[in-house]
Amino acid sequence: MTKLTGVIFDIQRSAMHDGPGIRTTVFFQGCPLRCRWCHNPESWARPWLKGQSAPKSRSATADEILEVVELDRAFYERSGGGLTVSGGEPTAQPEFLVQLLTEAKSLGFHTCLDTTGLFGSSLLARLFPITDVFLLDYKASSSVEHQELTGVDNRAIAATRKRLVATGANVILRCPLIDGANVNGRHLSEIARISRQVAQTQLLPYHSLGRHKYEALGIRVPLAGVPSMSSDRLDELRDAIVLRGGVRVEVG
Amino acid sequence: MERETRVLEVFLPLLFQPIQPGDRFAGRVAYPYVGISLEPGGLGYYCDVARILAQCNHRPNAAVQSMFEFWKGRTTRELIRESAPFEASKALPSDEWMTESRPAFPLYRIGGIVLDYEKLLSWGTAGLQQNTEESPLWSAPVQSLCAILRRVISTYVDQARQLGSTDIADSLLAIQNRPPASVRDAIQLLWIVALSSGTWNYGRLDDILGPYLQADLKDGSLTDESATDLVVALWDLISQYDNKWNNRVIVGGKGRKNPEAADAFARIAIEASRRVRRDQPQLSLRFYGGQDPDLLRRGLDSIAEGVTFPILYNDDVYVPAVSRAFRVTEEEAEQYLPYGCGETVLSHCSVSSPNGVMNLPLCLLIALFGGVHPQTGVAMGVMGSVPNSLDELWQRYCLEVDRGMEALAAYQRHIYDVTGTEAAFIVASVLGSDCVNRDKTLLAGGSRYVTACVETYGNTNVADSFAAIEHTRVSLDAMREAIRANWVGSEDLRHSLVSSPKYGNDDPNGDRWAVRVHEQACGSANRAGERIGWDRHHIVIINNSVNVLFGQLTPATPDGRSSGDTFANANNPAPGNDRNGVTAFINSLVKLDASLHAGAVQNMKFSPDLVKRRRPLFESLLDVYFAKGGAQAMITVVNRADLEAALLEPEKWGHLMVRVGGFSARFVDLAPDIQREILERTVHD
Ligand code: SF4
Repeated sequence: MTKLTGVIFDIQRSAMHDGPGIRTTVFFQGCPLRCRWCHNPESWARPWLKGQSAPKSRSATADEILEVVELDRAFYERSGGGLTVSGGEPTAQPEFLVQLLTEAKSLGFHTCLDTTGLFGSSLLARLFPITDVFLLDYKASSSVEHQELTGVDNRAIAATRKRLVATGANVILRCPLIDGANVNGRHLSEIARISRQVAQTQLLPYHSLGRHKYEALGIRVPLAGVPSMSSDRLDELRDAIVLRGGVRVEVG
Repeated sequence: MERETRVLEVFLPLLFQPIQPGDRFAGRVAYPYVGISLEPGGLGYYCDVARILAQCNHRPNAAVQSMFEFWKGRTTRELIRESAPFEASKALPSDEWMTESRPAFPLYRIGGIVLDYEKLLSWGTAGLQQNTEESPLWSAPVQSLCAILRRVISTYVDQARQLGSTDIADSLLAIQNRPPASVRDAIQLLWIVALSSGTWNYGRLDDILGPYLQADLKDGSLTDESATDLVVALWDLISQYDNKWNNRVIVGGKGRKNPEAADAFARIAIEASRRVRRDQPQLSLRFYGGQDPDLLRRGLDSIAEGVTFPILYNDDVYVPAVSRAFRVTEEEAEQYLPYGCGETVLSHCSVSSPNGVMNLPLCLLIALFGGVHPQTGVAMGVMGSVPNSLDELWQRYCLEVDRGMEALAAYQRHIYDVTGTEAAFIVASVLGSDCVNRDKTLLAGGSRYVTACVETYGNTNVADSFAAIEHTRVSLDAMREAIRANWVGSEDLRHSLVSSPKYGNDDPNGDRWAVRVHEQACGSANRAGERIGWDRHHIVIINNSVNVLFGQLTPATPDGRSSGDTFANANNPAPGNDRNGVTAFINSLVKLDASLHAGAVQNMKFSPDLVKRRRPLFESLLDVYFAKGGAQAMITVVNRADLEAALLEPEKWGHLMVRVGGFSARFVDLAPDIQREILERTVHD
């Protein structure tokens, strides 16, 4: 196998919220979406495309990454953790992603892929055997809304989700919730419905944290004026989802 | 001994203070200004001139004047200083460790003594007399001591009656001659004798008091609730006997005689600490693979609530480590006791007092400047030309450490010799395990193991300094220049030193130096002990505020620390330097061998989110830490005060992770308004 090089912008050890157990999370550079609540706009640029640059990113091989992952093996084994690949959108570097996950599995690491689902069925078929848990984003229920809030429509994303569910993959649904953007009755009902098909559903409250990053990048702040979601409000939404038949719904 | 007996006749009745309304046991003390003690009042015979002068507005009358005249040159401390061996006092010319900037100072005390309470409780005072009747040395002093204690008890009985506290009066009467029969009476006797002895670490109270408790619970004279009340009352008195650096109570662990009864007491002790919520007693929980996991679970529950206690000790690592460090069998090592701020002693058969403090970063600076203090230019080290390479600097640093350790070991032995000639410490001696059998006093041959330890501070800063010099390849001339100017004009150099590898990040380049500095200091203390004929002389790396104090007295150091800044605490990374996550922090910690010293403290701070909402992950972290060789952990939970401190000094809080919305972030990286919001939220956690 040729050794590929990927572009990443961070490796975080001791991650406690990126899948089961204690994990090491590798953040891939590059994302085709433009979610209005994104708190990592610096991860958007895909420096391998013409005219895009990501000054804070660096290139790395799978071996280099797995050397860092290896350091905490004892912690994964005790806690049921492992490697999480996040981003950005990891599938924007498909070959490198597959290589990294393949090598991780061959070294015996549990793997999670944190993804929007914006990729095709052939990649999914390759990811399926090397990904233990899919952390799958669920951002908006209607196609129009999805387009408006993330810059892409949800057809491919929905198709990925359906395939994952159909093949019995281990899926944790991750739902960012933003009042005034994607919170509405239909969306809550959809979350409730899908929650019955997946292992777990995590609700992620909107936080205005990214604001200063946008300012620093010179991008107009997309959700200017939208306040962070309080924990009371989040509990309220969780209850609403449970009322609509949601199961295994947690605050993430 | 005659002298000491006569002093105690006056001293002990003065020491004990009246019962206060609300007390459940008799036993409060205030140290007389003149007297005898192991440590609390002063070492041996002491006369506290400063406190007396303050008391009389600096206008002593003729009687006080003549008392000063009498004591001048006669206190144990003065006798020690005046007769100190020449070489040692040359290297340790001053005792002013709180105000002077020097690499090493002696301390005057006999710390860490823990009495054999099992013997005391099974014998009672009458038994103590009977069992020493045959001893030419101990018979008379023990008779007198017991008579004094009975008088103290009688006085307390009268007070208790006046206050209407019949339960206290009954307990006191019960123990005046006979051994205690209930846990209540046992605590009462133990407490009065502990206070009489001038010791303030209590050892394995679960094993000692457990059988009494169990009997009381069985016959229905106590319930769990009323027993907890009693222990809470003892905890209250311990915290009144205010010394947050001592006051250790140990529960759990290998080598207990009555494990089942002890577990029952340990559970109540943990509950009592949860209720008392003070910084004392320093409840410490020992645990091991075969112990009922319920104890550790309850300990973690208490920690998760923000009670700093219990402090955790992993016997599976600690016992073999003590066995190696103290050169005793594992069976003997099972009777180790943590005391003070984290030192170790073998229960009532050893003396291992921490009688020296060393400022390791100052040793490094003196080495760097050719034997002189960088600020004052005063010669206080091994003189010679200034080193010009990293290797030379390391060699010179080792010489400075060796010089300090040798002086401290020699001085320490001298302290024991002079003190042992002056004072028998009757209570501590007869309740030690060997003094009576051997017919000797505590410091004059009565203790099975006489050892000592040196408190070292700033170990991590020294390691980070060497790593930074190596990484940046800075010339030592430039280094000296920058240190003299406290970085003014060398900001770039400082920046690159600060961003060099640091201990605490699982980075081999940082951690390698931490291991090297650690092993050098441990080895240096051992060798210094061997030179004076002790095969057990150690360093301790403990948790108190001396790291702050010594930091204030120390110029800038090559790790980029500024003059006056605090040193890293105990064995921890320097504040804010562990930025690679808690797993990396743990991996670094376990690289330092626990079997080379007499105690090291690991502080760990976790977020409320982790300890409460993600308890399995919190437990996984600890499990792996202990499985990888972690010996000890002092765990605290991040609170509002920490976040406020992080706002003021962000550079020291780089490790602090918080949960924001759906993700985690370094607190210091967040925008100010978000930091404020998290601060508000944490109050309610
Ligand atoms: S998918 Fe993730 S990285 Fe991409 S824009 Fe959305 S939130 Fe940001």
